[in-house]
Amino acid sequence: MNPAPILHIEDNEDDQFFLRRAFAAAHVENAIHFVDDGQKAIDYLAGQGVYADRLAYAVPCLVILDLKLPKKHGLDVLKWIRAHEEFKSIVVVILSSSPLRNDVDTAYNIGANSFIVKPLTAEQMIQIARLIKEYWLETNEFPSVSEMKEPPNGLGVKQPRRFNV
Amino acid sequence: MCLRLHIRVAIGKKRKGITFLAAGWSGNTFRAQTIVTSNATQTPLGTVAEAIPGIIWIFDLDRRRASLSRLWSEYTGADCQPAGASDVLRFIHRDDIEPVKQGWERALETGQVFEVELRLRRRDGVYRWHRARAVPDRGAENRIARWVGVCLDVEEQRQIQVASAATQADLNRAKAELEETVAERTSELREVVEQLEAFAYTIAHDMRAPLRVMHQYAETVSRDFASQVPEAARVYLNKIMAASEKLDSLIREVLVYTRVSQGKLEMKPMNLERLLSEVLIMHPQLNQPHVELSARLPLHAVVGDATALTQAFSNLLTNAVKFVPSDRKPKVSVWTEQMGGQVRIYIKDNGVGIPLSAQDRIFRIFERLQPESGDEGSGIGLTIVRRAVQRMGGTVGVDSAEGQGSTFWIELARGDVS
Repeated sequence: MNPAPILHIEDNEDDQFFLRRAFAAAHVENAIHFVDDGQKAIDYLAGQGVYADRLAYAVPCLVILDLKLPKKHGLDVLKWIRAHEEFKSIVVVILSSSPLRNDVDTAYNIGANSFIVKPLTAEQMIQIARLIKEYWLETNEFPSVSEMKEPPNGLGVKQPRRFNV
Repeated sequence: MCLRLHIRVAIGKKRKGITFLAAGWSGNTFRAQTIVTSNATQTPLGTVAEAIPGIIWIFDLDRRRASLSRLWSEYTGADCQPAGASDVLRFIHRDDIEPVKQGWERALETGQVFEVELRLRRRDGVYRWHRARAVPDRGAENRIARWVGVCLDVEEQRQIQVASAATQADLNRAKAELEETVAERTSELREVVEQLEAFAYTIAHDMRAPLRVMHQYAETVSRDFASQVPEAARVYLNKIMAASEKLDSLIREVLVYTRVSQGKLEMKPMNLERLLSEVLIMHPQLNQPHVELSARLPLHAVVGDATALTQAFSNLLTNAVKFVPSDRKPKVSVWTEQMGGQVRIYIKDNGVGIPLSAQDRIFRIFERLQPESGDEGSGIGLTIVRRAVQRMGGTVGVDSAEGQGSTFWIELARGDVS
């Protein structure tokens, strides 16, 4: 199994809890990091600010992204991700509360790998966690680009860069 | 045989000459003409011409002279027969002179009937509309010797026309204003409806999040603390979950309804047989062994939007199996009928049926046939069908009797018309 963490971008604490519970129930062993707004998500991925420590905040193998987020909308986060060479092929699964047709279309247009609607029940949430694990973590082959190269400064830290979003 | 009867009557002997009226049958045409033999100023055209309530005139091509009935002088105030064109033209409205001249020249040239409307000045200076008409009078060797014409006062007629045109214009203006008002109101109304639908969507959507929270914490307590939760409490937790599931499915229906109401439709021919098999894949409860479903092939193609039609079709099919007594195996048959440019899709079930008195209201939102009968139906399913079908320009209906099952139908434009 891919040892890299999972990044869950979600502002709702309850949904964070449900996801953590579901992933535990599905026996997902990867660490799950939470960020609760769009800007923090970008900071985390860019390894900047409080997320500069790549050992503590390693580049994730999977991003689970809510759309309605404070500060930066989920689709803007996705746009940012795909605009950066090193994240071009990172797996991004949208986990949104609504299947607004526009959102679904836009998400796929700008490079989402999957779009899932938050389910009503915990049972369904566990099932989703299981499917994500079995498919994205255990079945899917990752391209070499999303495997992070050894950081040039030897600290596992990518130099903070200025990103124009 | 050609009957030719000529009567020549001397109508009157005038001071300086004689006027004759000649009349008779020529072939099967009655011809009457006056023959002017004098240049008398009083009644150069004879009594008959004077009796007609219009100005009668004759233009003699050889002499290039016009003779007019007495009404001419009475009307215009001219005291003698015109000596030349200008004696006539000076009574014609300035703006009508050119068309009259042109029409006259054309008539002389072609020998065809001269017809023109013009304003003639009355002796008091008032112009009144007249209609002039003249026909050529062919003499020997078919040569046109003169033109015989009449000039009728059509002022009143003209005024009525003008008045009715004004009325028509008023009417048109009022109609346009009304249409504008209607369009305005319609667009205002549409805006309100759109706002309401957007509002409904937001509300429905925002309601799902707390429901999710309710349900999942109830589940979490029930499962993760299973050893600490007494049996009775678990029953209550299950009730919380059941209630939130019910509310959630209601909300999802509302979301489907608003989605069906909004959004662009892409109308194209739809293959119903393919659509049916897609719906069957999406809804396992419609398949064997739960349901005996038969389709009378071929199912005719209709014109529709893929999403809207799928929604309507699957709602009717799932409805068909929903209201069947539990001791009966649901039987559903699907067939189509072509009706001119339309196709009617029928979906017949062996369910409880719908009493006639309720058949109107079942398509209304939140109307349920048996609200007391438990958790069957949200009261939106058929409303979604109707909305989807209406948006595709079709109609929907039901034939049913209580206890006899129901046959729902959708009527849409034929899809196989090239």
